[in-house]
Amino acid sequence: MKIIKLFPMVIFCLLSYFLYWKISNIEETKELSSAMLNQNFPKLDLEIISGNSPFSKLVGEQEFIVNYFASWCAPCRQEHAILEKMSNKNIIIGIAYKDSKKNVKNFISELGNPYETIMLDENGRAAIELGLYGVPETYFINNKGKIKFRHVGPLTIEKFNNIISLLSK
Amino acid sequence: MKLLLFTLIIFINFFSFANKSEKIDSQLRELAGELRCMVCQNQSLLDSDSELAKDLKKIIYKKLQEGESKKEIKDFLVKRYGEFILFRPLLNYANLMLWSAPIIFLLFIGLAAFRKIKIITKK
Repeated sequence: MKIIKLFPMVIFCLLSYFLYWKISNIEETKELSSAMLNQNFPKLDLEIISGNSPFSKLVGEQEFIVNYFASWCAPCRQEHAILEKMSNKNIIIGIAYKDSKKNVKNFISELGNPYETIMLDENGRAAIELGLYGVPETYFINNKGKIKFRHVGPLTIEKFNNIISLLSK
Repeated sequence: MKLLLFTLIIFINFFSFANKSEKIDSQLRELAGELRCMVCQNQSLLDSDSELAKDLKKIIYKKLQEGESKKEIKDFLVKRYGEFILFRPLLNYANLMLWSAPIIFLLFIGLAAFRKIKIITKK
């Protein structure tokens, strides 16, 4: 009978310890999950600013990266140099979010063009199809046309390499 | 007579349009209150002024105008943003424990209380 009386106290202690452990192990830099992971890359009907229509040739054929950016976004400027470096080995498609053709062209002529194709999502409608939170945001698509990774925020070389090595496993 | 008829038709059309628009507005407010803003995550879409929340509210409004149901709109958003966008978790296999835990605890406490009362009354 005494053991039964102690039962709620034991449950309370276990629960407290579990919560303490969970809180103290929260990873601040944890990647935001996406409902689109392992889903087919959606069909996006967007205006092309430069390059050729990419998706019909790429989806299901090759691995590629889709980077949502904007000329008005400061972290996108910071990320742009990284994309420039990584564009040698990777196919990167740029989609300008809530931007204008003129501003995108100025942005590219100022910072360089890491993109195979640049497209314009003027009102942000296509971004919703990908479950976008904001810019910059980058999607890694495998050669079967499935979204394998979503990175929210500016990429660094370290993060980029980590994602590539994670996906190649 | 023709003028009167014409005015009446205009009035009826205007009234039904205003009524429909008001109904959609109230449906939008109700639905947006049940959905989480994915940018400022402790606010509902209704309260949030973020760009994404504004875009999602526009899409919801358009879908309501097109006659889509609340469930269809929620399914559309869950497919893209995950179940996290819903303030009220779905009743499905993954959430079974979450929904059934209060009932299980209530039964457990009820049973314990019943046994205790029985012991006391026997004494």
